[in-house]
This record gives sequence, structure tokens and C-alpha cells, in this order.
Amino acid sequence: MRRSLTLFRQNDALLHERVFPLPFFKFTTRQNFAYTSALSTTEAGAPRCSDRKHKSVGLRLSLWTSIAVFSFTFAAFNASAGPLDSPGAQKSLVCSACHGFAGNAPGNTVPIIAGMNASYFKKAIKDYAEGKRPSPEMEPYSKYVIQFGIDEIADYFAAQKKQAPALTKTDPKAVSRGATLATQCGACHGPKGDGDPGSVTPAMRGQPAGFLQAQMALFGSDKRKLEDAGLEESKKRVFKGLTESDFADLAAYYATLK
Amino acid sequence: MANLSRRQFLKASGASLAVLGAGGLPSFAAEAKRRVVVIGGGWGGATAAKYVRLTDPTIEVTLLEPNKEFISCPFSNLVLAGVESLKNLTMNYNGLRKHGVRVRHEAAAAIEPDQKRVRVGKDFLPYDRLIVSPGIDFLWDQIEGLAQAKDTVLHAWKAGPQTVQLAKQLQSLPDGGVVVVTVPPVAYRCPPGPYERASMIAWYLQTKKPKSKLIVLDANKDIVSKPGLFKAVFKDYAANLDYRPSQKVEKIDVGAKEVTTDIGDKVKYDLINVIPPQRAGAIAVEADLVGGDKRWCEVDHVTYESVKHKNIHVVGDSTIGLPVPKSGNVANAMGKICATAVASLLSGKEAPVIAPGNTCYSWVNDKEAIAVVNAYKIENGKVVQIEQKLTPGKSVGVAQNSLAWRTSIWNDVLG
Repeated sequence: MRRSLTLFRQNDALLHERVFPLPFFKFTTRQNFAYTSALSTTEAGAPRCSDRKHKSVGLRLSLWTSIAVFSFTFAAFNASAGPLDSPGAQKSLVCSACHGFAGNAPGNTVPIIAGMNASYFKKAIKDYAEGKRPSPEMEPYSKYVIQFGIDEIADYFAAQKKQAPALTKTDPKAVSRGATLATQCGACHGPKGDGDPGSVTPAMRGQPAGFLQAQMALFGSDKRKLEDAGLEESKKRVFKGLTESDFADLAAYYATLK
Repeated sequence: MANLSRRQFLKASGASLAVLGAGGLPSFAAEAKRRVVVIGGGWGGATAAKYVRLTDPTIEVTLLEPNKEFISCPFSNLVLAGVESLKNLTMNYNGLRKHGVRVRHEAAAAIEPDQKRVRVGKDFLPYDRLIVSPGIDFLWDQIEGLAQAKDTVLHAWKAGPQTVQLAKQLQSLPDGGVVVVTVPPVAYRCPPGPYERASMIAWYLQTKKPKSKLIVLDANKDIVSKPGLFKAVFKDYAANLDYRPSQKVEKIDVGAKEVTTDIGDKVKYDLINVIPPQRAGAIAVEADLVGGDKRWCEVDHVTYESVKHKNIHVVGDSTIGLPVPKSGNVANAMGKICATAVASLLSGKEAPVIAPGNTCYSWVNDKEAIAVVNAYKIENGKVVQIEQKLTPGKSVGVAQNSLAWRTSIWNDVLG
């Protein structure tokens, strides 16, 4: 009991550290940057720059020119220029509850899907929908993605800039052990875990450690299989010699790769 | 007149000529601001306020929320069992301010749909579109004796001081005491919440006060959410937990420390937690946004516009008619979808057709949780479920996922 309480408290401390104030700060900064750069606004949201344009330029222009200026301004209003102004962004609105704004998940067990290769995204969604990858969360949501438009949603996330995961406290020794173990993963996943878009091999670099470890546990217990028989065999060979603590070390290593 | 001109202007760019002719340049500059007022800074309202700004930063958004702090209801059952602190569930509204939302810590006094304005004290806030996210209020008079006993008989169904008070009452319970938790009839906020609460209290009693007993009096004929999973959990707590379905509490006698159910059973308690029957928040009732049942608000399934008043949208627990639970996750999804609909409609565009989703975790002891997940689609303008999936059982992994969920969704609501 004592141990489990400690487990919770540790998580909570880590969580607390991640939530307050770092990710809040990081995320709001990111989002603010995304739209303030797209359209200058005051704190209250009034279009400061365009107002100035009206007053200094508009008054000196003839009626027809000012109509043109207004039509332009109105078009700008209509275009809205927010970061959600695309079908893919709107169709994936529900995803940010778990996967963070624009797919930059701040949680330890949820993958960052910002910048994810679109082909791999689609493969993952199809695998979840067909039950090939077990996840009570993603099985229904994968069907949602297919329902609303897998191509647009995949393209939207692929176009987002990936941020580094909100790092939990990492043990340098675990990272170093993970680096040694990772040499056998590099053949398929690349020397830095970037994956291979050509063969639809996923990137592991900079994914949250909890997510990576959970996936390795699924592979290790044979609950997640690879479709290609040859790959499945080599995966089994690699995983045969690995323990739970090896998974944790590997996850720590890949999570820290920038 | 001024409003009319502006609306015409928004409908078609050709109308700009008329506006120019009538008002000239400066009046247009002043009129161009489109105003959204949001009532209620909970999961639905705070999300909606933020996402209107994210969708269209030229829209002016004012959020009315009397509380200076946001306290998460999800995870507050863990506070009762002493495995979480309320501090960790408490956040502020500064993140929304960074998005340009004008946050006013005042209560909306009344909605005037015909005038398109909200009264705040002596002030009036005009709006082009209003988003109402009032949460729930309690129907005290449905249980005889409850209204008079509100100060001592706690609900702890809105996370805050009562959560901490109920935790303290549990701590002071002598070993061997009897705790009673009452579950209201559907519909109520957070369908699995009472059963998560029962699990967490049972875990607390089993580990800290093993001679004590929890009696759950459920007005419903069966466990409302995740029944199979909760039944398995309740079996583990059999020594300390007595679950009684179809027992609607109708009367409470705080002097005798006794409740009476609709079938005439009398149950004695040492400590009681009554989760009262519920309806939409008071302002929704006062503004005539509720339907014939006088309890919940019916809305369009795509735009969340009220079926009773134009230009007023309702999101979160106070809505009815969609096949979705009254959960924080659904309120967050509704907030985002409604925000994009409002921003689109204010620009003369059609609202995108998007359905909500529901990810719902329930903790059952100090380290394990269960979950239910629902995905939805829109069919003929109505929300329809695609699929529901449950976790196979309780696990540490699901609990870890719930922590990742809360980190992300709190940020989605407020960050």
C-alpha cells in the first residue's frame, strides 16, 4: 500500500511539475505565437493594425478606393486567420483533449502526433480501427477519424511542428543503458530513432517515455504484432532478450533524443 | 439600426456600400467588432471562450465566471480518499487572458434574448452570439428535509470546499461507522461519478477503517455507467460495500440520522453524502432555455444553438437530447465545436459538421482505474454513436493514461 501511494505521489509530483507552470506557459506561448503572428491583435482582440490603416490611409482616399480597402479588410475578417482555419484542424478538434494542441501531447503516455508521417498516421488509425493495435481509447476514436476524413486529419497533423515531450525526471544512467540497447533498434528505426517513412516504420525519437514503454510492453507480451511475417520474427528475436526495465531504459533514451 | 447595418454587412460584401453611405468610415471601424459573451467558465465555457479566439482572433470574447479559480470535478473523488489534494486540481484563468479572452469574475444576472445582451450587476454586455455553459444546479426540494440540512449534509458534487469537508468527515468517522452515499435518478452530472466515489470510499474504508461499511442507495435500477466493470470492482469491496439499486431516497432526518427510500426502507447512517437530483444551472432556467421538463436545454446537434432562443448556444452538462454523457470531456468537445460554429456563423459561413467524443476514466482504488470511450458521428444533423469501448478491467496503465488525459485536457480548457 505504501508503495502504491508513493507511486501515485511520484507521478503526481511529476505531473504537477509538468502542468504548473511549464506546459501552461509553453503551450500558451506556442498558441499565442501561432495566431498573433498571423494577425496582429491587441489584448482585447481589436484589430489594431487594420484600425490604424483605416484612419490614416482610408480618410485620404476617394470613395471607391476606400471601398476597395474595406473589401480587403472585410475579406481579412472573413478569412479569420486563426490556427484552426483548415478542414483538417476542425475535423480533429476532439483530438486535442488527449493529444494536445496541434498534436503536441503533454501527457506521459500519449504519443505526440504533431509532425507525424501521414502514411504512418493512416496505418496506425487503420490498425486501431481493426483492433490490430489494442487500445480502448483509440479504437472508437480511430473510427471517428475514418468517419470524418482520415486524409485531411493525417495531413493536418503531419504539417504541425513537433515539440519535444514534456520531460519527466530522467535518470542519466537509464538513458545511457537505453542508448546501448538501442543499437539493435536502429536497423529499422534509424540510428536516431527517426523511423523510415518509405517502409512506414514509426519515429520513436522525442516521444513521451510512458507511451514508448507501454508500446514495448505490448510488443513484448505479443499483444501488438507486425503484419510482415519477417519483421514479426526479427521483432520477436529483439524482444526475447529484453526485460521490463530494458523497456524503461529504451523509452528514457528515445524520449530524451531531441 | 446600427446592428442591422452591421449584420447586412456581414452577410454580403455588397452591403458595404450601404454602410459606407450611411455611417462612413469611423462607424464601420467601431461596428466591425463581433462580440461573443460566454456565461460560465467550467469545462465547456472556458474551452468555448478560448476556441472562439483561436478560430477567429478578431472576435471579442468576454467570459463571465464568478469564481477566480477553476477546480476540476474529475479527480475530486480521489481527494475524498486522501490520495489526491484539491490544490492539484485547482487552476486559474490567466491562460485564457493570454488568448485575449476578457475574463470577468462576475456572475451573469440575467439574459435578455430580445435585446441580445446579458445583465451583469447594473451593467449590460451586448452580444452577437451568446454561449451559455451554466453547469448544474440541485433540486433540493426533491428530498424532504434536505433543503434545511444543506450545510451539514454535503453533496461534494461541485469540486471545492465541500470536497475537502467531506474528506474530513470521512477521516473523523470512527472505525465501525456506516457511510451512506445516495445516487440521484438520471440525468445527472458525470454518470460514473457516484460509482467511482463509492469505489474510492470503499477502498478508504477497507484500508483505513476495515470495520466500517458503505451503503450506496441508488435511485436507478442498475449501475448507470460501466456497470460490468464497477460490479467487478464492488465484489472486491464486498466486506465494506453494500450496493442497493432501485432505492430512491425521498426523505432525510438529520436528527435521527436516517433516510427513507421510495419503497419505505429506512437506513441509518453515521455519515451521509447526498448527491441531489439535478437540473441545468439557474440562469438557463431563468432565461427559458430549458425544455418542457424544466430541467435541461435542448440544442442543435451541430451548432449547439438553443432550440428556444436564436443566437444563444448552450454547451456542457446543462444540455439534453444528444446521446452523450454529462462529462468534462464531452463539455470540452462541445466547447470547441460550438466555438468554431459560432465563429463561422459570425463570418456568414456554415458551421463545420463535427461530432464530440468522450473519454472517461474512473479510479477504483489508489492506483488503478477503468475507462469508457465513445466516438460519435453526425447523421441527418443529429449526433449518433459510432462505437463505445470499455477497458477489459481495472489497471495501473489505465490510471496512468488518465493522468496524461488530465494534463492534456486541462491545458486544452485553460492553457
